[in-house]
Amino acid sequence: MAEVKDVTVEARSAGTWAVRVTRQDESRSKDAAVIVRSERKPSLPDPVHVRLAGARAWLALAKDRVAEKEWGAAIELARKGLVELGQEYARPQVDDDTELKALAAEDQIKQGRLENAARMLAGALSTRIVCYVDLHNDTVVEVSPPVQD
Amino acid sequence: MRTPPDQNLPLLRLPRWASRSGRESRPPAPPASGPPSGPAGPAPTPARTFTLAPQLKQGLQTAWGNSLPGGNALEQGGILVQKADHTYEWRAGVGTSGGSFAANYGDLKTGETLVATAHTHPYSAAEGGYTDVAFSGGDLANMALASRPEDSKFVQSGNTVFMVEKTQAFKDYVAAKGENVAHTAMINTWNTTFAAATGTFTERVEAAAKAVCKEYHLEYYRGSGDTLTQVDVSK
Repeated sequence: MAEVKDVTVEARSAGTWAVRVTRQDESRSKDAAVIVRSERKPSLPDPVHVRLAGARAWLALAKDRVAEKEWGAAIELARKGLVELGQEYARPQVDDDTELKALAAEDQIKQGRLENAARMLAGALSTRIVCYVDLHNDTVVEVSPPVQD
Repeated sequence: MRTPPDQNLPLLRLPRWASRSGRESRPPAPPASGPPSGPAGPAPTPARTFTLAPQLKQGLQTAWGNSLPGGNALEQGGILVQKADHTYEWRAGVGTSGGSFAANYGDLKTGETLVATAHTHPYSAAEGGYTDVAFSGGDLANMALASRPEDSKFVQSGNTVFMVEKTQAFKDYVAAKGENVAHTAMINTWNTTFAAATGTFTERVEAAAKAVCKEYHLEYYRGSGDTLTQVDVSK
């Protein structure tokens, strides 16, 4: 689970809730939210799909570091996102090769190609988030910020 | 004995026990005991070689050709179906990601038989440009799931085509253990073997894939073009 866990649940339109989290990287932080469809208010401290929101926040932080060419930091942040999202994220009909991509990224690290590795791990996390949203499309209405951002 | 592409009965392969020439026919090997943690399975037999149906070969090559658009990795794939008239047809799916592919089972129509699924393993130059990347742990483990009814699965990575096929011993093991236990065990075998393996990334991936096939008695093939040869997974 994430090192930092700042979670809130807010009512939205009828039958939907915003599960919002904050994840922190040194002095900066990122918020992410998942709009959840549920008859009952998701209960704290572990509301449904909180790990999706957490992973999305880590991805935002990782992408910031990629943009700043802080490859080592980006690698660590993407890894945190992969850990928080967990292993149950894809439909069985999906041939999920993100683990291969993550292992290839580790190989790139050994070769000193940190930029490649940072982008690959962020890409693997992004793919897994998309898979997770698809797996739970009956209860996940929206992710914010969108994964494409 | 190559089947013309326009013939109505193109075989995915020659009979399992036949050589490519069809002159060395022999029956399948009798079953033997497997390791304690895995299913019982057939004893090692001489490598088998077979020819891909032309529709599948073309489908795989087209999928690979579309797997690095603009230099970025995008997994592609599809399904091979046998239609009611016994002809085969490749149906391409839609790639959405560089790291996963969702089999397009919805393209199977009533009265048709799903023969195989296939997808690609592309790595862009910015991802190391790897080719010859065999099956992931997930690729193999999800063959234990009832929601993955295909008996054969293909991966194309560069010029190399990999195939894995379920055996009766594999199906018996899954039935005995349950699909979730089998799935987890296969993932663990893949991960453990990859971690312990030496060599390049692609060599370690193939070592892991072979270990899973050996342990759980999936048949494993590799080749290029339209010719695949069974791999001795004991080595």
